[in-house]
Amino acid sequence: MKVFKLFLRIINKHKGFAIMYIMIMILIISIIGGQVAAQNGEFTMNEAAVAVIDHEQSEFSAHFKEYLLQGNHQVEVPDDRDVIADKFYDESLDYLVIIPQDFSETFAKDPNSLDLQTNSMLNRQVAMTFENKINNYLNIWNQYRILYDNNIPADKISGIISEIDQIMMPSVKVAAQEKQQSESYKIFSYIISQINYVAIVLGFTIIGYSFLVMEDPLIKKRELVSGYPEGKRTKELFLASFTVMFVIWLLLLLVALIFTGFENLTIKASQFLIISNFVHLIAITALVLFVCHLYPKKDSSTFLGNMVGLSISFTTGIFITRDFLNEILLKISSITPTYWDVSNAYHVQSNMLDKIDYGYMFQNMLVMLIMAVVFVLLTFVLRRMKLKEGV
Amino acid sequence: MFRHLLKYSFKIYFYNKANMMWNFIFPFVFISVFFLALGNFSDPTAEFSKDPVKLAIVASDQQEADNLAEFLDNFGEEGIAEQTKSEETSSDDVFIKYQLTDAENAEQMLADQAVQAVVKAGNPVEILAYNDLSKVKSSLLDQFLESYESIRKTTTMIGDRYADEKFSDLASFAGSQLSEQEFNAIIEQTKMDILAKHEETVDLFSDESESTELSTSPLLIYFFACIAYIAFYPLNTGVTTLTEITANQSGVGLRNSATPISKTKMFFAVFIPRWIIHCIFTLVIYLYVNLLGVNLGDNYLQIIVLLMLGTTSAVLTGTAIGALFNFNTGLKMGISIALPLVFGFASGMMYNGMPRIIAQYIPWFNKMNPIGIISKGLYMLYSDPTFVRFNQQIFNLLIIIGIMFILTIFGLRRNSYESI
Repeated sequence: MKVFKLFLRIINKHKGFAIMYIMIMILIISIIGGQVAAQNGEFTMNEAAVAVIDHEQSEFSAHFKEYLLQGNHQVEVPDDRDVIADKFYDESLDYLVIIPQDFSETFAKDPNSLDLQTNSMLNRQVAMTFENKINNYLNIWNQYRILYDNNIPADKISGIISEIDQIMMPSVKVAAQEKQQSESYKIFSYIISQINYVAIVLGFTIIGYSFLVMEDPLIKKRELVSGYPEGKRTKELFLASFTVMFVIWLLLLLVALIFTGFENLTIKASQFLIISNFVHLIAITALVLFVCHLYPKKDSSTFLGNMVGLSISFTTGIFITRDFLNEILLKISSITPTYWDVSNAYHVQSNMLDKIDYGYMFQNMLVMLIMAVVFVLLTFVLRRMKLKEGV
Repeated sequence: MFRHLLKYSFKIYFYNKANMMWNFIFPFVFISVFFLALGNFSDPTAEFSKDPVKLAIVASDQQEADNLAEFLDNFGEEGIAEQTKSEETSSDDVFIKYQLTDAENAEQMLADQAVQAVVKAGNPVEILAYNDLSKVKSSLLDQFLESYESIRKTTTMIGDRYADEKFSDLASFAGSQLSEQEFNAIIEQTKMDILAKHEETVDLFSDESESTELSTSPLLIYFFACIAYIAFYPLNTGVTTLTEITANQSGVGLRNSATPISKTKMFFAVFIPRWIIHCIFTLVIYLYVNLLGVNLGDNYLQIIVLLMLGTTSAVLTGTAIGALFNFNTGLKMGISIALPLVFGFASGMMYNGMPRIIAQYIPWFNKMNPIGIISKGLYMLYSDPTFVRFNQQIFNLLIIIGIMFILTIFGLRRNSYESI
């Protein structure tokens, strides 16, 4: 196990570098994981920072304000253009609503002529969400306005408010089976797919780099001259690479489980995802070793990890949901093992627990396994060719 | 002599193939992949129209099913089978395709993947089962069904209120001996009134400009961060600049140190060509982004100045790292790749909600994150008609440049070697 130990010693020598990258990646996974877990895995806008300036201070306007702030984070701002603009540019404010002094009066006359001043950050997604919210709310009030011939009696307002609260409460039921089961496996499926990005980057920056140090002609020739068989050396190198990647992966999996709950270990879908992610890890390690043989420049391994990691993550749907991804690019990305593992994660996210097709997931794992075997075989071929050339 | 050094530094930099590959080809590849990957983000609704959510609606009460179908007609159309064959001809506002059927057939359709969800039209509406329904689509479906529920609840509550107030005096109503005809007329009138209530809608934002292209989507935010990342990417160039003039970092550094030229002069001779090359390159990337059709705004001069300053701050941050820290070149290179990645992540390049989270929990980080400053500068140029806030970002970048420059010079002067 001389080569195996030497490989670990090289990693140990560069532990500062390795720890720095592992910590950065864990930080990225933790922040994303924390956010997704907080949103309960829903594809919804984050809690928005909202400011509502109420110039009317009536029961109606107070309820409107309360409704707008529901589920969002309130920001206190004075009615000062410059201060408000600063808040927007500081990114501490997403949406602003100024309720005019004659809010109730104008609403009674003609709701469409309400002079409700709104402002939002550049992201139109935020503005559109709030525009829909405001329209929905005012439309319901409008029904009451018509009922009372444009003049809602003051004594009816509190009754109407409690009715509106009931109306606005979500009431669509999702299948009973789904409600009983914890939805944590869906959040887990999202976070575990993010691990793939980290595995690629760390694969190149830590394993790729150490592997290329070991493949330095000076070290390699010294070992071969000392009588260490090439076959054994190759096996130990591969074993060491897989072992280190496995340890890193365990660490990342632990982070994912901390954020999503350890009960995932008992859910079949999550268990399949863990196996799939492990198979992906094997395939990615094989890919890293193959690329390191194709482009054996140790100073470039960090660049390579960065480029390959970002490109694969953007094209396979790790960073951006596949609903919006360019179809051709997505098809091209199927040549990477990551595509198949992310497909498994998407499959779990898109299906009810009893509708998950484990055969499909197994098939995707098989594709990754075949890819891993192909990469390993190609690497062996490259090594043999290089050995013949005397490199 | 200085001119001679400058000339050779230019040549050496271009002869280095690894430099060409990682500092020039990578940013082009990255921007292109980024652009292609996000291509559909500019018009997400068009994407939904191409592939609507397919539903099977079941109901024990036909009236409930008809009501739901009537509501869904506002966003979609009936019929599942024809959809697959004529995707191209699909109308732009068809987000949902549905079929009214019985429970058994609906289950079969779901199993055959002809539909993605089975919805029971009842009170309330229930999603009985779903299959292959992405998070985005399920959230869209949920929104439509919640809207339907909200209308239904409004109708019921208004109807109840109307009835309560109209027939509040039940005793006199009972004694009024209404004929069946009169009673039916009242009920009919009630229904018509309720119907009328739903026909008048409030839309405060109908006059809002139909924002074009990128302004309507989070794509622009992603792009600001991406371009800022590319502008700040040459951090490693700064690190290698120092490696080549520091005796204990590389062979070239040792040789350069032995020449009868002052370290500061040697630094500028190596630094200036690289700085110029990367500034020009950032400009080329900006032109390329424009060629791709991404409109970052019309303030071309300001954008160029911002990007140049971003690149300058990157190179100088690299030189400061190189000059101040004595650890091995590999680790320095690792830091030079990792830093832009962390700054890019914090600016929303991988997750567009990140700048908000940073602003909420660690606001000071936003003020010292160069990629965040460049990205915010681009955002301000795009949206703020005055240059006041943009100038603030330029000022922040200049401070970073100044600090990094002083640290570099300080680091250069303090080096002494016990042995090389």
